[in-house]
Formats: sequence, structure tokens, C-alpha cells
Amino acid sequence: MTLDNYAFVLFDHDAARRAFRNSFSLAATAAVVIALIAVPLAYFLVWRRSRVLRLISLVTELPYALPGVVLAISAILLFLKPLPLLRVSLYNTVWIILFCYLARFLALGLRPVVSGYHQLDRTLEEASQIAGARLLRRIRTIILPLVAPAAAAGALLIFLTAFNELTVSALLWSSGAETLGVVLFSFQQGGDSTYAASLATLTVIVSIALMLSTLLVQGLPRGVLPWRD
Amino acid sequence: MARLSIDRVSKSFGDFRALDDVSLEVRDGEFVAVLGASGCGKTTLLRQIAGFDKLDAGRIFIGDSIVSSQTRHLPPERRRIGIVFQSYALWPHMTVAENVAYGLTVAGIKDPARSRRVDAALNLVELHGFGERRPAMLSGGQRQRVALARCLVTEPSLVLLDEPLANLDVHLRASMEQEFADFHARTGTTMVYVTHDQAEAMALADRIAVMSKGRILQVATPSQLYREPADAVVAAFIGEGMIVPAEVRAVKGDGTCWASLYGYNTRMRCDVSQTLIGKAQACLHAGDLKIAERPDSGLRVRVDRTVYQGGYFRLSVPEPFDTAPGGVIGIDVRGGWIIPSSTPP
Repeated sequence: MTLDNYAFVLFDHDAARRAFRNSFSLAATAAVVIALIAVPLAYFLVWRRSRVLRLISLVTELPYALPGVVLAISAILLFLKPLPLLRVSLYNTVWIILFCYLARFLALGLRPVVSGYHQLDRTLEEASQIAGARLLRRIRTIILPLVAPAAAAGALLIFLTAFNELTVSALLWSSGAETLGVVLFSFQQGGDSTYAASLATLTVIVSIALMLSTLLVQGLPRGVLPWRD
Repeated sequence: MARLSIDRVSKSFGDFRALDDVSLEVRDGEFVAVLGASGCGKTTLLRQIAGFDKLDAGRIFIGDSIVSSQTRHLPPERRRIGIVFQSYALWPHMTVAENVAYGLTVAGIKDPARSRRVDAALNLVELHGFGERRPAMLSGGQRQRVALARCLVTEPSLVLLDEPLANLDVHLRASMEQEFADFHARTGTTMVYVTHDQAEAMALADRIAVMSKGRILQVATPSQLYREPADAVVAAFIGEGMIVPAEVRAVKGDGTCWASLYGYNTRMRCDVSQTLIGKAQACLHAGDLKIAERPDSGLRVRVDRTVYQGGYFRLSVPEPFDTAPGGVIGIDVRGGWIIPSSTPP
């Protein structure tokens, strides 16, 4: 029995330390950005019944449905050349992973928000409209506070999924932009099963801690997070 | 305060004609109820006035300005009206005071004035001291009053009420009805009150517009609607009117006529301009009928069914009346109205 392996992956192994930091910021950024996109997007989807957006929302399901490797390869093909006008290349940076996370998990974050809108009484918005509030103010003062629990639940799902993600980042990682999944996989491939196991245990602990913390939070909608009902 | 003028408005959803050539004039300060069964288009009409939906044809004026036409559509947030929703639509994440203050905040009114007006509005609906509570902690009647305060605090020129009492129990309804009436008397705001409950409409409104299948059938004062319905649908809808075939024998020109109901001759009310002699339809209310003192006089009917209704019985008599023996009574007809637009059946 020893805790040395935990100490090694937490403090001594550079790539593993970076991977914790990278995965944490990638997952958190993706969760927050998608939650912020999902609120106005779902507004137009559900309440304005925009046809164009419905088509687009169908398209957002695609990166989630396809295997991660397929998404990663298409991102490589898309970003291999520098971006037009900006002359910056996302390829070989952490940003290409973030882009793929945003694409892949949008569907995951959108769905709870859409169902949140369905449960919301539209007259709540209409009442603020009658009070004289324009769209931006209505979203900020009425809609956002009311769908925030659903958006938060969606963001949490995204964070938990993205934190341990492997299939997308396996093809996109570069030195300095490793993710937890990639490092864990390379430990296992290199025969360092003990390091792999301790790294995996740590990610599981982070996930469980986050899940448990949601049980303390009041006001999250029911039926969105699978471990709460 | 403003008048509301609806000029030949139509609206269809797919093939369904929800509003069919609807016109209605509401005078400044008037309380008009729009009465109809569910699905008659009254809520569609309300949403048109509020500007939530665009219209297909016609025009709507609030005050002197066009707010809706085929070419112009003023969005709801710029119409300066108030609505009390059926579901109250109070914002659950705000306190009562914040709910009421919202419209003022949007209008850019800053704090000493704003909180003074919020307090005044809450006092008006007798909810002083409830400002810090959340809507979830209030009873149905209190929520209704918060919704009213929120709607009135901005002093809208026109207030629309969408079945505001439908979710309240019977006792509360009567007292809220009184509050609406008092409120209207105090402020003189132009009000349009949508309801399916004719007792509510009768109790509150200066005039009632009866709607059915997307059309306005009659606009009249409550008593006129009851006594002189314009057509058979209104007659049957208001006050459980009974429609019976009648034959007008002689018109006197003073608003009465002699008519025959199943061979029984009686004097009935009719339109002053009524000239038509012959077959027509008559509207009778329970108050027009009286059981004859001598069983062999009056309109002789056989009683089909007797239902006790608390204090009185409801008698069902089959039509055509037959005079077969057994439970035969005579009925004196002491009133009734010849429906002016009635086509001979």
C-alpha cells in the first residue's frame, strides 16, 4: 500500500499536472460558454419557433452523435490552414480542442435549457413585454434567472463529460495541450498501469465530488441530471 | 386613459378563422366585457389588442393612433397598456415589491419616486406590508391583487383582463369582483375584461360584447342583453334563455306585440321597429313563466322531469308540448322577447 503513485501524477509528472489544468479549464470554459449560448438559442427555438434555427439545432446534434474521432479529423481538415484574414492557425494549439468541445457538447447543454423553456409559462415573458421591456432586458431580467437552473444543470453535465474526454482530444492534443484522457491513455499504453489507475481514481473523485455537491444546491430542475430526481 | 377602437379585424390560424371581421368601440373610461365560450376567439382578440400577434386584416386604434394594421404593428412593449393574466404571470424570482416596481424601472423611474409609487399601488390593492414576500408565499387572491397592482402602477391608458378570476374559488371571486368594480370606479381606466362567466360580465361591465365562433354577435348593456338579445345564439347563451317558435299576430309599434306560442296567445316584447308578422322565434327566461293557478288555463304542458335546484325546481317539458293526461300543468307566459333577427324555423 502506498500513496506514492498519487503524489507522482499530482506533483511530479509535468504532463499529468498540465493535463489536470488543461482539462479543468477546457471543460469549465466549454460548460460556461455553451450555457451562455444555449439560453438565447433555446429562446428562439422554443418560443419564437424559428424554422432556420430548428434546422440548425438538428445540425448541433450531429457532432454529438458522430464518433469523436470523426469530429477531430474534420476539425483538423478545417483548421490545418491558418484562419483566413487572421493568419493564425488553431491547429496544434489548445484552442482546436476547445472548438471541438463546444461543437460536441452544445447538444448536451442545449437540451436541458430547451426543456426548461417548455416548462416555463410564456406569459411571464409577455408580462415583462407589456411592462415595456425590450428583448435584451427581458432575457436579462426575466428569462435568464428563470432558466438559469436548467442552464447550470446542462453546464454541469458538459463539465463532467468533457473533463474525462478522450476520443476527440486523442487526435488533437499537442505538447503542452494534453488532456487528462490523453495522459491517462498514454500511461496505460506505456505500461504504467499504477499511474494510470491513480490518475483515473483522481478524476473519478473529482466527478463524484461535483455530483455530490449538486445534491446540496437547491433549485436545480428535476429530471435533468440523471443522479437526481 | 384612452378609447379603444377595433375596426373589422380578422385573424386566421391556418384554415381556422379565429377572428372574423370583428369591430368593437370602447369609449374612454368604459368597462367592456368580452363574453364567450372557450374557443370563441376572445383571447385571440385580447392578444391582438395587446399586440402579441399580427392581424390579417383590419385596424386597431388605441387613443387616436393606429397600433395594428396590415402595414403597421406596434410591438406590445410600446403600446402602454396593462394586462392582468389568467395565470397572474408574477415573476417567481422577484419579491412582490420588485414585481410591482418592474414597469417603473423599465420606464427609467428612479428610487424615491419609484418606491413611493410601488407603495401606493400596494396600498391600493390592500397589500401594504407584503412587499418583501415572494409570490409563492401568497394566496391566490393576494397574487391576483399583486398582478393588478403591477399592471396599474405604470398608469396604463388601457387595461386588459384575461379571465382574471377563473383560478379563484367562488367566495374569493365575489370579493375580487367587487374590487375590480371599485377600482374601475376610482381610476376611470378604460378596461376590457375577457371572460366566459356571464355572471362576472353582468356584474362588472358597462357593456358586454358577446362572441361566438370568431364573431361579435351583440354589444349591449347587461340588461339589454338579457331582455333583448339580438339573435338566437345570444338568447340561448345569456341567462339560460329558452328559444321557442312563436307566431307574431299583431305588432303594436310601442315595443310590444301579440304572439302565439303553440296556440297560446300572449303579449310579448319586441323591437320597436319590428314589423314582421308571422313565424318568429321567442326568447323566454324562467322569470317570464309562472305556473297557472287553474290547471286548465295557460299553456298546457306535460312535465317530463323535475330536478330540485335548491329553493326551486327545474321542470323539463318535452317539445312539442303535448297535453296527454298525467302531470299536466298550465303555464302562464308573462313576458318574453321576439328575437328580431330570427328567421322563421
